[in-house]
Amino acid sequence: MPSPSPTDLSARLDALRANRIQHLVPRTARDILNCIDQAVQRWLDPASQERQEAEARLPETTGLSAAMIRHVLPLIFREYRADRIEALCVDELGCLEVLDRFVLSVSGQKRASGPPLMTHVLAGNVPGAGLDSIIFSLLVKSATLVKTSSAEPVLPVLFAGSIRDIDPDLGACLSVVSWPGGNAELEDLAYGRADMVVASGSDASLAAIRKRTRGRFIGYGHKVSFGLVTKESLTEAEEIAHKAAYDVALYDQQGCLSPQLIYVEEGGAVTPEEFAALLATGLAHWQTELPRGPVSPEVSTAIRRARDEAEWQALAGKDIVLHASPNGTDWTMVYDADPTFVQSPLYRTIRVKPLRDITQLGGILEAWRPYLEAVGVAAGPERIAILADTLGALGVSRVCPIGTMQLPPLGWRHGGRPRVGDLVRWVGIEE
Amino acid sequence: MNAPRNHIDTRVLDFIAAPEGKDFGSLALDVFAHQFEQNLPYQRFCLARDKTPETIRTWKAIPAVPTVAFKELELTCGPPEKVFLTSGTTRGQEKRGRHLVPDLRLYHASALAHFSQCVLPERRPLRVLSLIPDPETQPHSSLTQMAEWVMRELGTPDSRYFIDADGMHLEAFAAAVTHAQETSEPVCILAITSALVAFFDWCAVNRKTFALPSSSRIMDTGGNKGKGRPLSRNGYLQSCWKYLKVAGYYCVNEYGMTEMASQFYDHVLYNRFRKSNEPRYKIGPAWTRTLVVHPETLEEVPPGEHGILRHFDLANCGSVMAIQTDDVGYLTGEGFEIIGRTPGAEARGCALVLDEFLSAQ
Repeated sequence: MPSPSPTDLSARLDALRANRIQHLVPRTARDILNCIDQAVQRWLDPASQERQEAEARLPETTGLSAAMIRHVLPLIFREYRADRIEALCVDELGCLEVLDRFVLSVSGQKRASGPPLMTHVLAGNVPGAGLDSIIFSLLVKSATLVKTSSAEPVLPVLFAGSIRDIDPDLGACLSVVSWPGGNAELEDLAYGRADMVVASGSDASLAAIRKRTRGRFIGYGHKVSFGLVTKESLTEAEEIAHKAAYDVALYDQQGCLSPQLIYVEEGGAVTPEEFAALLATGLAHWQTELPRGPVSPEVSTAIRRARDEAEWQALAGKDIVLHASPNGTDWTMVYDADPTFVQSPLYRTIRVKPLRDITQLGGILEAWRPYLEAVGVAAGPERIAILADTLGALGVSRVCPIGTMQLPPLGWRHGGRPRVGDLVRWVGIEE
Repeated sequence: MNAPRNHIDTRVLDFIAAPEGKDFGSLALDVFAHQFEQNLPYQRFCLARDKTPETIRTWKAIPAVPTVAFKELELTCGPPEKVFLTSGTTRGQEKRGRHLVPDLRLYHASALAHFSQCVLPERRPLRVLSLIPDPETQPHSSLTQMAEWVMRELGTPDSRYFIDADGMHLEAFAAAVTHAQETSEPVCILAITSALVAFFDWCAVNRKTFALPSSSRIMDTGGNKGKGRPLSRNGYLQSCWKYLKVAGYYCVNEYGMTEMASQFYDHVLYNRFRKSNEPRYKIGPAWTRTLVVHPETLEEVPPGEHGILRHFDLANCGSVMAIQTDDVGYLTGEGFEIIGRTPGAEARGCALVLDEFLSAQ
């Protein structure tokens, strides 16, 4: 996708604002939702042109294998079906209609509306990331400019195409663009003229975007996530290891919700080290089902380095075990008795570390507090709430069953914040 | 130096003294058998790969040890005569690699022989001006050890250091350069790249330029990445000409590592000496070989194709001869060119010797 010229981008922004008044403001949220649902239904149909084109093009742009793309596309879009979106709106706003008119509330009447123009900056580490905020943006009747990442320019463009195809008027309120980062002129326009900017990316890129933003700014920075297996759940160790391996394999561990490390509590039916071996078996399984994509020489070298370090530390007598794919760097599992949290080189490289006691986590993770996002947990129901409180106090916003880490439900409060609720402003009429 | 000497060490010393007509491959296999026998961590590493002297038929198949291994274990075939440490990172918490050298004669012989060939092919002693710290300041650095040998054995008696425990003496260095200019006596500058760049900056600030006598030369090492201001290789060579009037073919970059007794040099000066016009690339001495391997499969790649460098060095007889680096490069001509280091791999080398040292002041 070629970069727009400043003149072109400026004209697009004007057109988006005008189209909103003509096509979005008069429309009901339910009508918009129905239109989005039709687009989503196309994406859920394996025979649709959209799906075919995405399956053909995404392996190249994302670096994920064709099997992985075929696997994740329905998982991405199933969350965007109308009933789920409406349920989320009911949860966060009370009802869908509150986006159209004043409705009764505890202290009179209230109405919610989105900003006239929103700019969304997508990170592109995993395909489909950020589609939800595009959908929410249209739903709250904001004209929507999307800047895709150069790493993943395909899916947002194709999805916008589906909407335009189904309803050209709605499609005219959504525009997808891309340019290489650092273009001050374009960024001043795109961020400076929007009433709200929603951005995902590294802390550095968020800071750069925020600086140019005149309206409200919502930023989602890079995060780290991990897995946690309690001792009582280890009676099902094999199944849990299989699910944990799926979390590692999905999107080749590129998501902020992908586990970087898995803690296993000691004292269960199997030892953490035995669990680690089961996890390696799981990774080998998923490599045949959902092969990893090709990686750059830098990534290969970083993974090799992690392996070499583990192998030589083990030779030096440390309590470390390395399991790795026989050829290449497809998957790597390192069991390391030292519970310190360390980041993974990713692309299916995972460390398993033992915990004597869950209460150790507080000390271990203190330094990571600002970056923690999700924890995939295997635990008995009686411990979940206590665990979630402990993890929540560490800054974790999402506690989910292991095996679903990279499959957040639509209602996931990303960064601990409401999704649609964060985009609207309320007006109330008191009796 | 300590005794008794191992027979295999003597064979390697003989190879270094007169490589012509000697077979690298067969001696490499003998060195491997010796290391497999004497270096027990290495033996365990080889056994984990089902590689033994009985199963290996070619030097290319000798298991290569990654440089991280030197941080974890003492990879040596005997009690060390000397221990060299890799530079720590600027963070300072990183474990340092340890190269234990049982017989320093091999390092000495290899380093001086290839330095002579690549930097002093005329075999005429020159006054050495060193912007590499003296060995007292950096006693565990293999680079300072080499600089000391070069200075004492290949330099004239008035050779001297310009970096010591008190810091970098750029004005004294400038005075020595002026002296060379006035007496028309060519000099050989040994420098950590970033130290020489600091000198160029000093020249710019003080509006000085010098003209060293012809056949003066510069050997630099360590690169300048992340140290002081960034300067490309071409920018560096232009500065050598601008501030010292030393032409590019007298500027030789060294690439070496603590874990290896032998070094690699640009062969520009050697080429000029033997009247060849090949483009600049790195060559190793006759007792080394370099393979480029695919970073994902670790399989050998053909000349020209990019991959990571794997070195085989007979002079490493007392530790491990096959070293797997993270350095990216490609084979060309009779040597190789290095493109860079992989992100994530910590900065290596000599630039850090200076950096750490200066930050400790």
